[in-house]
Amino acid sequence: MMKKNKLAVLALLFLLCLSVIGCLFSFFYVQVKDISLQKRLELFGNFKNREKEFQVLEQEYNDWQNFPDALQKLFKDNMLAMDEFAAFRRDLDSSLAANQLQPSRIDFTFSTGREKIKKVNVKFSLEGSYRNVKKFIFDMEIKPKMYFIDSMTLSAAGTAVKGVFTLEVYLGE
Amino acid sequence: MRKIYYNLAGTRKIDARAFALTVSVILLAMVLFNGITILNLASQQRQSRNEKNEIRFSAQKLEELEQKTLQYQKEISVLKKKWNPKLTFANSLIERKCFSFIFRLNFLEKVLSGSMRIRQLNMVNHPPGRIQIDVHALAQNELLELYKKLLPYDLVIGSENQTTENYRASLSFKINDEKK
Repeated sequence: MMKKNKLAVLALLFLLCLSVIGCLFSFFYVQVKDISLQKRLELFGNFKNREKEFQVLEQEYNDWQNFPDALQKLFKDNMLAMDEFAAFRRDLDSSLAANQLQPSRIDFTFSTGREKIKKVNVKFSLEGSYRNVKKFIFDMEIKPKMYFIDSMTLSAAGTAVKGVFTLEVYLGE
Repeated sequence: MRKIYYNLAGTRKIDARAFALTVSVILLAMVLFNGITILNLASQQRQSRNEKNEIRFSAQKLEELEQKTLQYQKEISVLKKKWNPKLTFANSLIERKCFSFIFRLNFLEKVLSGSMRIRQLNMVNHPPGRIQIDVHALAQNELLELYKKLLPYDLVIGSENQTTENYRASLSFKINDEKK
């Protein structure tokens, strides 16, 4: 009887050992799984990065989709229309007159640019005080429409300044 | 009359209480360890099930993202091919419209000393273009001062002449727009 009980206790102890080993193994297993979870979380982090990259790409895509309209708006808002060219000439004359500058002649050269846009080169010479010439340049620079001074040559002529200007004017439809 | 009990067994008599206590302690410990094991594994199982769902969801989304990315990249390259020349043209117009002659004149006024005179000035509305000036000075050290001031602006001294009246120099330099 004693022997049987001893065996039973031994068997139970053996089972207890198995339980302890099982328990330890479960902890080990959980740790290993945690490590793999970390790796997966890293992958998930990469996914988040990809998502951000995609958002940037999507923004670029939308920008390109909206580009034709934006370009059209830019040209429409900032370029002179054909029938506004006369107004530009009047404006140029009034800017020159306001600064007491009177070019002897103004030459206009028309050429075709890209896409129904015409480029007009305007060339003239003038003479006046440095202050007035500078004010005229300033007046031309602050005009909102798409015309600008392409080149200028200033040279001293006694107390006055002689200037040769080339303007570029872009005309839309 | 007192009874006398004899143990006729081959081994000692078992202490039932101690035996029961030992067995119950062992059993309790087993239950405890097994419980912990089961809890550990069950929670792990739950976590991994959640993870699998999440990963499946992410993988689906990732695949969708990949497809959309490819589609967008293709469409962007088509749009770029079509619109890039116009974009370049528009940008060049904006850049030239922003070019400031006044800024450059102000700069020259600032760097020139009182007795120096610019006899000729040439400027082109093109960012890489250079400003060319012919300058007269009464003293050579004034010219040298000017050279020093213009050195950071990619100064090129074309020529320098000395006359009985003054010192003359032909210079060119490059200056970036302040708005950039």
